[in-house]
Amino acid sequence: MRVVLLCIIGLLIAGTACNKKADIDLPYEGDRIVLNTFIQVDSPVYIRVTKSQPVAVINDLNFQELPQAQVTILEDGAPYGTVNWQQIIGKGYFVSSLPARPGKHYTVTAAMTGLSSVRGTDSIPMQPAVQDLFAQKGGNQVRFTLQDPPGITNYYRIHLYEADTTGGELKAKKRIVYRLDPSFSNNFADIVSDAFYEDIVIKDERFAGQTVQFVLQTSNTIDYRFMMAQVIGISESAYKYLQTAARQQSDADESNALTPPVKVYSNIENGYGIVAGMYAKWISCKVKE
Amino acid sequence: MSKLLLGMLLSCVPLQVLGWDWHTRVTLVLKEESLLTACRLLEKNYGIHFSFSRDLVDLSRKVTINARNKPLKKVLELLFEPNDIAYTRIGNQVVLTVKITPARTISGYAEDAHTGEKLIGATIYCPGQQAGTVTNQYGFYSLTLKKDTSSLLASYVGYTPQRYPLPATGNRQLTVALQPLNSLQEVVVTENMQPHLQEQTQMSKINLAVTEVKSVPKLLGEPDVLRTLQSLPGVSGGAEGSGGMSVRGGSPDQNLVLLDGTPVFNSSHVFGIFSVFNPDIVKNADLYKGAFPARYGGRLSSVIDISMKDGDMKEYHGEVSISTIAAKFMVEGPLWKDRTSFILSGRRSYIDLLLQDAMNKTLGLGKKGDFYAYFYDANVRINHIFSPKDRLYLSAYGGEDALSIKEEHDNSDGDDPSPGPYNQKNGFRLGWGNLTGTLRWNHVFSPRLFSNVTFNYSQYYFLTNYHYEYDGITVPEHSELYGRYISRIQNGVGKIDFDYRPNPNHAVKFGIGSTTHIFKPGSFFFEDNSATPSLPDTTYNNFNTVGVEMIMYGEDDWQLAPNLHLNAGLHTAGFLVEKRFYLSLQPRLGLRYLLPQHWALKAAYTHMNQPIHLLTNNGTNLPTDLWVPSTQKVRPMLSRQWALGIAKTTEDHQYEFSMEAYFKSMNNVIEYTEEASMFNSAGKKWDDQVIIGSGRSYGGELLLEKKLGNTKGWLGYTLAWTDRQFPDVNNGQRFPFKYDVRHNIELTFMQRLGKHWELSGSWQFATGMPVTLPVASYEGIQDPSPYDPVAGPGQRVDELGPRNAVRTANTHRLDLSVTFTTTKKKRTRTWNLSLYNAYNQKNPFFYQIAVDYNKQERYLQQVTILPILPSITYSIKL
Repeated sequence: MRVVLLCIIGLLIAGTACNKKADIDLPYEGDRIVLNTFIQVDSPVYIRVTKSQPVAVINDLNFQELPQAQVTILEDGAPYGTVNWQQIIGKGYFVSSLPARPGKHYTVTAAMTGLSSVRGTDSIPMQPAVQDLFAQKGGNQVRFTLQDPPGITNYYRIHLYEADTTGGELKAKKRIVYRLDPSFSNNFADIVSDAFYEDIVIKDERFAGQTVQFVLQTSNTIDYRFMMAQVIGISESAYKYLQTAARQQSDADESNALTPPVKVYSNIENGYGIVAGMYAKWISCKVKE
Repeated sequence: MSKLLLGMLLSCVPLQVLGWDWHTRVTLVLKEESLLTACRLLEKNYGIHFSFSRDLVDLSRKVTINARNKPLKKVLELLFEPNDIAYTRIGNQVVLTVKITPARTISGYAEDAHTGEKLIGATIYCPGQQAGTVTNQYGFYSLTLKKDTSSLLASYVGYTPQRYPLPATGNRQLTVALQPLNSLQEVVVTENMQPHLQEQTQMSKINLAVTEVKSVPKLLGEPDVLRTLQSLPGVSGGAEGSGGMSVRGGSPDQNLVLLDGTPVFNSSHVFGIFSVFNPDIVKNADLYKGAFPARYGGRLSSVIDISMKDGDMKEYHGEVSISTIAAKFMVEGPLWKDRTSFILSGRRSYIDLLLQDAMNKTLGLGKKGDFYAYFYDANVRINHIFSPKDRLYLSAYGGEDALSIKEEHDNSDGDDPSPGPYNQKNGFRLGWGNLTGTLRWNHVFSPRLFSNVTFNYSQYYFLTNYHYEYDGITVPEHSELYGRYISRIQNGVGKIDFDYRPNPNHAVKFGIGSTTHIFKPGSFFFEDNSATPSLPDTTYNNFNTVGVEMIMYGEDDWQLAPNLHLNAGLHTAGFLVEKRFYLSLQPRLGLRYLLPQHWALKAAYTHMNQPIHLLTNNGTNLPTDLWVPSTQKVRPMLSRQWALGIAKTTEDHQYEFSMEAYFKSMNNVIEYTEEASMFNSAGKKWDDQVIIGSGRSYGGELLLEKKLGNTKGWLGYTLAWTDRQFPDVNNGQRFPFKYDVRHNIELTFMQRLGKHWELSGSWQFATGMPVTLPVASYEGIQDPSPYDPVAGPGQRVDELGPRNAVRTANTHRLDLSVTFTTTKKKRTRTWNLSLYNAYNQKNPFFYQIAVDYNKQERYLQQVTILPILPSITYSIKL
């Protein structure tokens, strides 16, 4: 409802608004280390360590990397392997020598001369229990079943992929944009606004402890042979970060005047960024002809 | 010549040599001297000895007298009669004793002689005894006089003052029917004249004349009570174009808005741009910013008490008007002449009807689609007089903002296809509004005791529903979803109030009441008739919480001494919710001391308690905000306010001047945690997502008002500070509240030009409001691994700096209005042209980060939404 209201108000404002450069300089509170990693089970830990910069600077998302930083990983409080600086697809990462493991608690630290040392910590959540992915060619609906564990609050992130077989192995090719039945997200706005997403995070408050069938409506008609779904169990920190970052981005895109500026969640001491745990489950299906 | 010589001789001989009698001519000129001084002068100059007991007869009272060569009897009468002192000659002495006379009480109603409309705040005055009172909000007065008087004077602005003769003795019931000054003009019942400010102990109160509301410049042609209130000192409307109203640094949910005594939870339309009160049916509007009378409670920061008109008891009248965005009507008249009257009004915006086709195309709703977006109000009131002692009022209000969108695409229709191989229908409706109903019974128990019994109901709701149908054409897919959301707060009130005037030195008000609150903070209902239904349960958060509030209050406006008045009151409230009970004792104290030159020094100290909270973000209030009761963790809000000021109304009622300073503390104020997203519904554990803090505000206000004549208006200035403190925000440091505006100046004038024209203008200036700006940018993250199948492009994150640490630009704006009125054969036509933001000042509505690609930099961009806006209103009144 709020989203719909905000859209309406946005339209009203857009009809009459005029803009000009404000006579206020954007402040800068100085350089800090930015530490970012989503720690995923069975995968090495990829850690980005960069430096913050003034708000006014345009950089096309090329933030200064800090390859000289000293980075460590602790698992349940004990040192866990080593990290090495690597260039991957044009970007520098500190990559752990060991993969993350289920049920563990990780702490990542980074230090750099001239900047305050930072640290962030989080746990690995449970792997989602999902199955029975179904889609039909020429249709716009995708279904799967999720069994939500009782007794705790669970958070999920859902990606849908168009997939194909390469060398006999099924591989995700392209993300599909979709929307969720509003009865899951309590968000009627998607129905009205025709809004589709490729990345949705959701809390289990509507189906805690239940086995439910998710019905997703895709934006484009399904005309491919295979489909994959990645349902990721995410920690509370990851949920807060993804939610607030998406809200900040959305407010910026839509010139949202009515909500206060969104503070993006961070669990990094003395710096910025996020250290958060995730545990993905992949399911796939052949699209029914 | 011999007579002249004799005269000169006599003037040199002390009079006491000759003795005295009641006809002896004396001269006595005193200014603000005590009675004792007067007696001593008479004794010294004329040998008149006074005998009295100091314990019984108070000769310290100050008198002013200018008697030259008057008979002694007359002079003593002037000195002692007003002070209730009897004088008798015994031998060669004047013996002074306390005069005991039976008090008498004159009571009744003040009304308009033409329409029978009750007049709120009319002055009933006994000049001889310098005693008076004003009618209460039902038009009732009770004046107890210490002694007999032959007449009373009644006055009210816009009416001819009138003297009413009284029988010699005894209590009397007297209906005061005043004649409007110009019967050709609109019958002015809305503009009242309070007694002089220096005669009121009440401070921090502003009475708004509704004729002024109609005269001041309008936004889009709609006169607005609340918008006019926002142009007064101590009241801030937030960013230009937003509708929140902050009084002395409070938040909008801390304002108690009453319509005929019934709370109205959402008092605005179109996200705060217009208020829900149609000025055509408003009789009186009072704003209390502090020094709250004991009868009010339940909110921290202000009370806005609005009374509807009763309806004409004698003749039928009607009014129709159309403005740039809305059309409205009002009709009133007698159902039973002089016994029963009614008033009925309605208003609806009509822009959506004009733009429907364009909106259908713009939104791609299809040929069978519909689009409506409107607001409406409807008011009705019936007033019946059973007897001089009993009256009944029944009033109701309903109003709503609504949006309705219907979209339909059918692929079998080649002109109106769906975007994919499916047929799709969806309907969406969204609305919010208030419903209120009030039943009041006035009963006069005795000339000194008036009562009012009230039962009222109030509801605010926000609802949404959607219906969605999807049918695949090439594959057998079928979805049929229905969803509904509703949030609501309901109030049921029963109370009885008494107005008791035991003697001239006391005006007592007391009462008890109970309010039942029913909270439904956001319930979802879903139906899934699809081929493969998803969720097993169909409702979410569907529960009500019931809270019962009980109040008891009493207050006494007490004349402690001729120059000193005390208003002492206590408001006791208990709030019972989910087996928890919150008790609060709220003292309400006011003091008035009359200074020389008829200035009044006033002071007040009040506690206010608010057991209900509004869940809102700290940006702008929205109709989706949720009312919730206090919980174990989030206790009722409490404020303490101190106020000190001086005030004066000139003798001729032309000018009023008041200056006040205040300090207010607020505890248990809440806001969302920083990472909490906005609520769609408040479940049982909503209080886990809010933080609890405190606030304070302090400052000074100055108001100079010209109330009479062809030129009217006011100049207001506010100097204010308000801040908040939460343990988890800004490292626990205080930060400026979003309504923290240091300086605010408002200048409003209304100038009548002849019989037909009126010009008005309003200029407002405010220093910048606080905003939060980002202080750094950094790289965000979207995916765990650079090898993910489709890694996102990454994201830039802006880190927010300290809360509200930066000030926006100053704002100022001039609004102008010209009104032309003609009257022919009892038909009055009015044209009004208003110019909002006449010099097109680009005031900030909000700020956003923008990119200048030429300069390769990001910068802060100011967005203005209200440029110069002309509007026109036409009305015809019969």
